[in-house]
Amino acid sequence: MKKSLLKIGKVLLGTTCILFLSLLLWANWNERTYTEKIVGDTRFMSYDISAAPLDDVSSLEKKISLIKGVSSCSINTGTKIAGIIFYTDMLSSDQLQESLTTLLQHPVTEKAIPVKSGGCPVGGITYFMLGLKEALCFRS
Amino acid sequence: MKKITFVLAATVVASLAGITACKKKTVTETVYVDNTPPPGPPSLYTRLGGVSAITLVTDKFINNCATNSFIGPRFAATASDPNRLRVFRFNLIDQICAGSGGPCQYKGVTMLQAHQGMNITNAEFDTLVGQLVKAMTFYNVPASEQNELATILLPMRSDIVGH
Ligand code: HEM
Repeated sequence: MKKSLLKIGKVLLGTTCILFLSLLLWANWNERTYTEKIVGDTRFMSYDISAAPLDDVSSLEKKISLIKGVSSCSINTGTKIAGIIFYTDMLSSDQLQESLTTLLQHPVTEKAIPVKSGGCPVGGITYFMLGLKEALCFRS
Repeated sequence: MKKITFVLAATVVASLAGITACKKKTVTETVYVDNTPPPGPPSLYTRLGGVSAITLVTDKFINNCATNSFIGPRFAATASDPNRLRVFRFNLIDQICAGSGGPCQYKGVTMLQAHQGMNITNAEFDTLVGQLVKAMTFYNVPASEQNELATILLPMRSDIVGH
């Protein structure tokens, strides 16, 4: 009984190791593309900025874009939502929200953009696997 | 047990062999990409300012689309998922970079495949093009370069609209 449990444990451990190594191999098999080598990873966040004055949106977008780590800012004056794309290795979402509050001198809160069906038909598992691939890839 | 050890060892050796084998390629390709002087007049890619400028414009473009009241909801799911945004953003940068004569290679699916089942309308397409123009204007891309890029992207309408 003890012997067969030990055997099962060893087989399970072996299978897990092989699975992990296969994932590692898959993640590192392809060379990073030219763009992936030189362009950093980003995230998108959207904020309700209705408390802030929006009379000169263009210069406000420019000011927000100048926050260290922010790649771009777009403001919709109708919905009063600011979309921000920022580099994840330079800025966290908490730091971004703090910087925005300081810059606008008004509290900003996260506000999601409504989703329309009829977007990309590819399932979320594909993107999860691609995220896992990126996390396991150590090629520079 | 011996068998498992053998399989494990073989996998490790295969992994290392695969990784080092492809690493050699990296060097050759980077040298080719970075050091080849462009023959003739500068490409649109060079005039746009290379990958870093294209990335700035692309980020502004994606952001404009995501926050736009009309087409934003189409992009909301993509923008809010970092893994999905990563694929979409890199594909878009590569598409503009490669289309304008840069060293990138577009590795995404065809425009027909990417937009299949979305039933995109002409009005949505025009709005999206408007957001690209807005992004280029924001970064002071000259009108001639804007028109050249539009000439590359606009013929894609028939593969994108109405499928
Ligand atoms: C010239 C116009 C356009 C170009 C160059 C373009 C380019 C692209 C590219 C490169 C992709 C990624 C393909 C891949 O992942 O393999 C994509 C996906 C997508 N496009 Fe477009 N597109 C255009 C027009 C439009 C329009 C008008 C809409 C809707 C209003 C739209 C909505 C989408 C969506 C929702 C995705 C899927 C994003 C995801 O994978 O999550 N596109 N497009």
